[in-house]
Amino acid sequence: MLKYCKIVNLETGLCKVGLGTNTDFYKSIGMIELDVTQSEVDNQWYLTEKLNTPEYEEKKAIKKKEERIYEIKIKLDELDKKRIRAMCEPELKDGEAGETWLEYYNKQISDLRKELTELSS
Amino acid sequence: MAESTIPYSFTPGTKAKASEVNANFLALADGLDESREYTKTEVTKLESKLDEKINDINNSNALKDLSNTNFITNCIIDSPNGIASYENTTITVKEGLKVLISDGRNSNGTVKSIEYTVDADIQYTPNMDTEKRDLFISSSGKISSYDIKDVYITTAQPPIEHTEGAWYNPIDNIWKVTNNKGTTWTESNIIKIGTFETDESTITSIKTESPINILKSIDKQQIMNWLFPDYNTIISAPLETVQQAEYSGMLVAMGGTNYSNVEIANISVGSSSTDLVQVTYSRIGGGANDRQTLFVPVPLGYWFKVSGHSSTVVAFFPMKGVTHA
Repeated sequence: MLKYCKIVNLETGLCKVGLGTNTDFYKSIGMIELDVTQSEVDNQWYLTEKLNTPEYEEKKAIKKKEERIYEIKIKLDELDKKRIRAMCEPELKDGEAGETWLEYYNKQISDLRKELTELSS
Repeated sequence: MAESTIPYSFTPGTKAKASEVNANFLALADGLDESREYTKTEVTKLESKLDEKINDINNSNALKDLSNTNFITNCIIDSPNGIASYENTTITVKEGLKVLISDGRNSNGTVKSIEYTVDADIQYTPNMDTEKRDLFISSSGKISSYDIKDVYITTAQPPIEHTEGAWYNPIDNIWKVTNNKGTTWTESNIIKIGTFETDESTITSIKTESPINILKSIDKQQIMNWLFPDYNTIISAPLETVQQAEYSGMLVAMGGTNYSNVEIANISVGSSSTDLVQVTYSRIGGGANDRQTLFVPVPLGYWFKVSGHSSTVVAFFPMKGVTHA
């Protein structure tokens, strides 16, 4: 996207970017409009052309994988708490199918662990 | 005022003489005249006292009269119609020009000034035998000029070898002038208001001094605002990079973490790029899913660096006093 900015590092394309609305101020301090993108890897702003590389796509994929692993771990923690309650207060989740809450949570945990193993391999 | 009395009293059942009745009326008329004069005199006295009080108030009011300030002198404080203009051989000093003319110092070292305001435009035809001359006005409204080579502004010692000239002595806070090659220097209540150029027959340009801005108590809200971040001029700042503040402002670092023990953001600030002092430390324990934001004021010219987790976003907010918002 076009934003007023100053290039900090020519090699990496790292920029200082004006994020407010006062374009007159940005012009007065020597910023110019350039096509920049906020990196999904480190949240810094770079010239867009410097991010259109296989290396960046690879880093982005790794970051997404790390974030997914983090989300799974959070969910596993939450499900562990629910399983303790399900053991202490056993109840049927679905009377017709005869499925308990504990079985229901175990199934979810099993799916998440499988995904976690795949991501971690 | 004397009490009013009537010369004759009448009792019931007796005849009143016309001359006595008339005398009573005349006495009453005299009393009324005396009362009217007394009232007039008292009102005049009251008006005089009110005028005196109003003058006292005006003279002590800094917004109206700056001659009582001890902080500034030798400057132009207002010029609603401009300072001076020129046409052919004549310079016009503008009505409304208000100056503080240096007038020595008080015994405690503070400066003394005479405030002078130009009541009506003043015309001046200068000597044009030199190309560039400094223009002065005195506390009595007299305009004069000196060749710029003969005007000295910052020296504590008198200049030498000039036939005529003006000299401002900042130690004594007074202008002095000479017309006898510096043999004697005479104190003069004048102030320089500009410089003009001639082609030795007409005036070709004039450059006037700038009026100073005086902050008044009514400006306090605006002044307070100068010390707050201007949220419309936010600038992103790279992480892990030593940078110099181009403006006074507020550095903000916002970050979060997941399962690991993570140092969200450590901000270091210093007056040189190699001597940074860590001023914040922000760490979130393992397992916490948390976010933190840090604020650190950074003065113009100081160096700073933000280290931390890759999720940290750093921004710099210049103060409103810098952006004139």
